[in-house]
Amino acid sequence: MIPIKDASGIARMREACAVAAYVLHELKKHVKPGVTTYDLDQLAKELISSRGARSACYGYQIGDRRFPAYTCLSVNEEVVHGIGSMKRVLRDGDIISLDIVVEYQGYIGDNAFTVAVGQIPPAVQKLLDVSQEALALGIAQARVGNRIGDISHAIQTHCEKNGFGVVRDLVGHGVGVEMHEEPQIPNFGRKGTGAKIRPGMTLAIEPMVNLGTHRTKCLADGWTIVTTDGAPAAHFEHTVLTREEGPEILTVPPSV
Amino acid sequence: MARKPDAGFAFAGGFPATLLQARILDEWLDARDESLDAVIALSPASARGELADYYRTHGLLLEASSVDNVFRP
Repeated sequence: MIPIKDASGIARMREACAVAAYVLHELKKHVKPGVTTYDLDQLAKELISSRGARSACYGYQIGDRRFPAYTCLSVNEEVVHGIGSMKRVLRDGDIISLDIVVEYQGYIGDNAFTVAVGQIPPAVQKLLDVSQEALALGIAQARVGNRIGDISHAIQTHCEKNGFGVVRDLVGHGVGVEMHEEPQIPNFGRKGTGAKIRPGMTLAIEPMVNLGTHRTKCLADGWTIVTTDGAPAAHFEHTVLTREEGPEILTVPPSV
Repeated sequence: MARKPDAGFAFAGGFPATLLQARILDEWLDARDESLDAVIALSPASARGELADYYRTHGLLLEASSVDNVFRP
């Protein structure tokens, strides 16, 4: 069952998503050469608690393992779920995905953005541009009456048309009271398949796009997902509310 | 934070063979927040006995004659 949020649920999703967007917006400003991913994680921790929220990543459990950091910080070939480390110093030419998930008064906001560190190669810039466009195209399909597969198809088509690999091993998801609710939202699939989109769904749509092969593997830390060919990967995400009038992005940065 | 997609799986050939094994499998699945979708009795003989009854009372047992439906989406 895909949870449908009522007016009060939607109001609280808006608040949680506003906090998530605020933290992401602030964190982006601190990405520069010389900063460690540990520094960014600690900063995110402070930003989250300054708004009276809680990191939904920290302690997130799969089996008997718990995620040890407050955000997911994934550099270059790391696709998602990277763990901040004092040993990982950002350098000019890197890209880093900042994935912020916060719980605020019982509801969860989830968003991510991949930031360039200094000057990056044109091919990597294109990867970022295409991935961000793919997210916009996917969101545009989150219309009442469409199906989840329409989102998936739009994202996949745009990425593959540009020669990039779409990650298969992880998917977007419903988000609300839980970080991962139904439905699963793959970034690949056929039009007209999957669950029907109804008003009041809150969906975390998140293309994960690789410069090379779509294949990924998990590092020995049990969390970090990397590309098997070592080529860089991009990741963009918004939490989206499906309304009769059309999709609405809830994780809007504060300045917009 | 991205989600790991659900991956289905099937047991084939002789497990669980006893009621005890079936109960332990249920506990194991339960701990993983998973559950069985269906149990298929491929022959009339395997649709009898305490194991078959166990799954039948849980509404999970499908007999070979209706198996065709199992593989249709």
